[in-house]
Amino acid sequence: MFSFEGVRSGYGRTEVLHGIDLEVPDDGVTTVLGHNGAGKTTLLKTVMGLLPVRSGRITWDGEDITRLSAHQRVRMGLAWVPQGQKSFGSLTTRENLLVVAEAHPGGKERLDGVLDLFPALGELMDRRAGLLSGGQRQQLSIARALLTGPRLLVLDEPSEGIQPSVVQEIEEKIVGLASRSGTQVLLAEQKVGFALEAADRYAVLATGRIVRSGLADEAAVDAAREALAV
Amino acid sequence: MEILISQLFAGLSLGSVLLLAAVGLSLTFGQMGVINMAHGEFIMAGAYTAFTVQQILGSAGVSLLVSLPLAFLVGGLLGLILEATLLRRMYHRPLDTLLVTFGVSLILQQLARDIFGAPSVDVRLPELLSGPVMIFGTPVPASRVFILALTVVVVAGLSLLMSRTSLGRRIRAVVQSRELAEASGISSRRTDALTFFVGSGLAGVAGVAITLIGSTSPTLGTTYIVDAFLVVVAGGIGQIRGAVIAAAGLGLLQVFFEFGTTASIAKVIVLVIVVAFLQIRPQGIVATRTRGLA
Ligand SMILES: Nc1ncnc2c1ncn2[C@@H]1O[C@H](COP(=O)(O)OP(=O)(O)OP(=O)(O)O)[C@@H](O)[C@H]1O
Ligand SMILES: [Mg+2]
Repeated sequence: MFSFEGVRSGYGRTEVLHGIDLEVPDDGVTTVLGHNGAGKTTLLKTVMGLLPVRSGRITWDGEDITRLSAHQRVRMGLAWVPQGQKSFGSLTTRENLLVVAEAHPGGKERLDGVLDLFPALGELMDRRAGLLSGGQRQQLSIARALLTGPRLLVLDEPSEGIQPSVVQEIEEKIVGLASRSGTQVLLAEQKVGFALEAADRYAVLATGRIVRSGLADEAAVDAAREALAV
Repeated sequence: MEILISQLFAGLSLGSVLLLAAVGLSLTFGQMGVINMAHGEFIMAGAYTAFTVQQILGSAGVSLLVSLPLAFLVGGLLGLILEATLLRRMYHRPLDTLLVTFGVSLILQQLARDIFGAPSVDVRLPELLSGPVMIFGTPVPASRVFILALTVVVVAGLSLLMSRTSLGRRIRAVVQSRELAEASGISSRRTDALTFFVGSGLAGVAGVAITLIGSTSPTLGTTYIVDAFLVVVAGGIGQIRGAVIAAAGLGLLQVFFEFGTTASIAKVIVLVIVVAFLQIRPQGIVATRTRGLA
């Protein structure tokens, strides 16, 4: 169980998250919904340890990790797929994968399995990541995250800017992963459809506060739409 | 003809010394963006390491071989201490970094004066390097040929380190995006420290080389620091290839203008040329072409 207790965070003097309580159970997909600027990215960066927590606590399996740095959290099993298909642009695809694999015990052994999951990357190994298309970079980004052998995979709008058929494919891969390897997934999304199809639980974020949350059943779609409309 | 060859060689030789003094900076300044004014004093520390080793071991040849790796360690450790105690706190404040490292450079100079005295000392040349060698029938100092070769080895080694090794990949990843590197499980602090260790260590190696062509004094570093920054900036920040071209160019220009004028006038002319060049091409000789974070 990964949990936020009254977490406040933001950038410099600006507070963006005003006391978030959130629980991500040990299995399945949890989705955070919200409009542009609601604070989804800020929430996920705070999960990763990339933004300082002003007050409140972050715990994982009972252990307080509020003060741990990002790379320490990643070593514990967190992995991040940032918004906007970010990669190490001047490094090649191979180097992008290697630099992550080398930082994790067992990373190199996972390389083949990850490339099986994204066969398109196999042909782009020597191309600079900065020259890949958005969709290719998204795959690279997820591949990098998987190399760390995560227990909790954090994805920030993976469907953004990607054609619908590929979104479908990515969604299937994410859900498949979650059920197969027991990896839990925390997903930020704007599109209610995509988000709730894949999700087991959801939370709606609006201007830095969680305004609704629950199980992602049939009723949830309407509930979430309603919460987003406000 | 003979004059041309000897001038050409003198220029390249000067360029190789400049390059050696600057390669470390191409890491700490070029990659990490830290303006370390004490880099010159790390060179000086390398030179005094060579001097001390020779005092202890006696044999000039053996001392030189021992000094090179040892000076790398000395420079590297000085860099590591500076990074861990001061620079780490001011990565986003270049002006503070400049002032603090300037202070550190003065302290290191005073320290050298206290330990080794103010007058300059000399390191004896190994037998093999003390005479001239013939290049196209023109005699040139063997010590300078050695420095040229050392520079080639050091620069090639650094390029390989950056392009082929896991440390090189890690350094480039952190330079590109500290955030993404951290969130990929790479400790950016440890990487910064290692980068600084290697960059400062290379200053130490440059110091040993410089003992082969001149005396060693506590102010040795001040002679080289400005030129070293000039090489990195003119070459294109973060570009080893650019630094190589810039160093060769600077060396040749300096020697060319010295011919018929004096060393100081030549220096002024070269500086004016570099400033004018940077007006036309602020990104330096070799510009970074890829989109950084894509
Ligand atoms: N680096 C920053 N400095 C200051 N404020 C920021 C910064 N990044 C984001 N913000 C602000 O924080 C708020 C939340 O932004 P955030 O990026 O978390 O939104 P989001 O829900 O991810 O939006 P989107 O769907 O557009 O990605 C916004 O008001 C934004 O302006
Ligand atoms: Mg966002």
